[in-house]
Amino acid sequence: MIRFISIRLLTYVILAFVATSFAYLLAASLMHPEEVLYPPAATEPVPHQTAQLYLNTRNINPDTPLFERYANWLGGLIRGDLGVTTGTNKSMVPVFDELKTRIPISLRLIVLGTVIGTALGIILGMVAAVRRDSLGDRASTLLAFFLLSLPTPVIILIVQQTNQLIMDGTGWGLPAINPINPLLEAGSWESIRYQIKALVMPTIVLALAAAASYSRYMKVTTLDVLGSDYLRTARAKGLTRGRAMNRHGLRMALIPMGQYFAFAVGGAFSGSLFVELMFNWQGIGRFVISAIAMADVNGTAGVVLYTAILTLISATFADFLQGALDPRIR
Amino acid sequence: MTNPQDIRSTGDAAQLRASTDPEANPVLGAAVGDTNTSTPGGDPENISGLELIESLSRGELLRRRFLRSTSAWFGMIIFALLVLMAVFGPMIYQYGPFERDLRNALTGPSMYHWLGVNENGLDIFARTLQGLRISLVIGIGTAFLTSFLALAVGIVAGYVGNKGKWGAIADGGLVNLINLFLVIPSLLLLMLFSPVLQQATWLWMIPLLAGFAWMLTARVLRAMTQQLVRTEYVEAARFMGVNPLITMTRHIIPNIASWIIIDTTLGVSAAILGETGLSFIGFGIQYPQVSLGTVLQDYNISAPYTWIPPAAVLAALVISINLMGEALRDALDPTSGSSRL
Repeated sequence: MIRFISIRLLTYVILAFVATSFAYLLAASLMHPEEVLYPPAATEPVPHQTAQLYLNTRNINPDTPLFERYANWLGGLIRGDLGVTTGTNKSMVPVFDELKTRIPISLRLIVLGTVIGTALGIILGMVAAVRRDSLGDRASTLLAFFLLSLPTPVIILIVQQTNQLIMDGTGWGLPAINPINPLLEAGSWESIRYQIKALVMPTIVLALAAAASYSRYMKVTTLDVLGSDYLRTARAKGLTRGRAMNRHGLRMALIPMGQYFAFAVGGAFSGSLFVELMFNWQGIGRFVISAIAMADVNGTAGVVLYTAILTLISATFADFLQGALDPRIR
Repeated sequence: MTNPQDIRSTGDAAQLRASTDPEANPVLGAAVGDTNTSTPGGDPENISGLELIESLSRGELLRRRFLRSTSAWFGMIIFALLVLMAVFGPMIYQYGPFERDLRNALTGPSMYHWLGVNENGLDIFARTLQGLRISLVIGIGTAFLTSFLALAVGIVAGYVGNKGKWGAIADGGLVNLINLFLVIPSLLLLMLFSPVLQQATWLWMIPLLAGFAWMLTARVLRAMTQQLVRTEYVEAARFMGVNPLITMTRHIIPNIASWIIIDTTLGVSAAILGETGLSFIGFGIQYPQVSLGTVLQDYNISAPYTWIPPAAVLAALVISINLMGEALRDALDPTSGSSRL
């Protein structure tokens, strides 16, 4: 079990490293930070010396060979330094600090949305499979089909519009923009209550999107399990339907879900990107959109590293779950 | 759907065929017909008398099963309507997708602007129809390209996997390449590439989206190919010295074709959703063109008519494609309800 997990972990670390390097090289070769430095509207050209100095301190000088820049960046990565933000922002904020303030904001969304969505999806999928062709099964399958046919922005718009309609009608509604209210005193009960209220709608969106796909997968795997021999044996031994399902079926149905979970975090990241954009949360998603738009090479690479680590952690977690659930691996 | 385990003797088949009227029982008739084609020239005097009863071909069978489902009809009708709208839309609308009517900015549906005007004075009807065109082209193009890429990678990885050391290395490399693509959210890489390629033409969106969508399908196709490579007829072909390319096209692709067809259909909707998301955050279709995602971008929560038309068209498009895909899956799947006798 330990050997199995450590081999998997090693593979993931290598994958994450390769992925981040790949992303850095891509960003460094595709983006043109010098074009952001010299806007076409500038009347007076920046002196060559100044420009070179500016680009060199940020390790984004296009005159430096690509692999030298990459080596510099790698050296920084080993020391735990991800470089500084570039682009129109001249203040040289370390990317690490920028990520540190933004990760809690995004992670809160991703973790809550994924956990609630997974739990909801597993329960719905299982119920739909066990009570096949019942009213609940039909309703949940139809809802999942409908949700999977909508892009995340449209789901967000529907939720926001519903909230707006309720607000117009009753005068009471959830805050639609900003995770915190700057007017309220930080740390006060009012402020915390606002934060919780602001979290509701984004979580609904992410949980719905996750639950829709999880319930579908769960339904398929549970149907497989329901037709299996060992479940029939368990029933033949005299276990009730529910007990047999809980003791033998659920565990086997969850095993394939683990592997799916590993790569679903990438989907959750994309989902949270839209949520942050449309609910005006200053998280990683908004940061990466502006970073790519402003040709911020270091910032983009930092975000890719973050997503790779996120995938790595969730994949390890999935393997761990699989090891705990599946007796054949232990 | 040819199941290698399902081998009936010709005697059984003849007996079945004699007792079954193919018209009344198309499935069984076709199944019997299958056994007939798979053993050409076997026992002529046994079959000759029964050859007169015609059985359904596989294509005909599929067509019947597909048309039997209501959801397939719904999907086809909605999709056909949307395609007609996309084709003939530009003949109807009075304002172009980029004509600004700032005087009427943010007004609801009226006689001149059928679906209203957004904040920037752009006609929503014209933009939605124009966006529908782009989304359709991108969706269909991407789906075909994705299936092709997935087919190439999946089959090669699955076929080569058990061909000695180098084959295993190549297979491992391809698997790791697939995993690598899955580690980075493809949205990020799309955002990196898209602005660069968009400078050339918006059609670059098709290979770009396809380049980041083939991985999961390729994984499945690889697993399916690995199973097929172990079957007797592929082994036999190999021992007869048949060229691997011919083996692939003649023995492997027909067996996984049904899966590919379903996946291509569902891939259309996936591509449309991907493109919409990308355009929505401003990294997709750029100015001289407009896609449904770009139209959605100009939403205004206090004026629902700014986003409901593009969202409704988008939902109708994706739902109609998914309905057809699911119906196709049911038609091709012998264990599903639609194949009941």
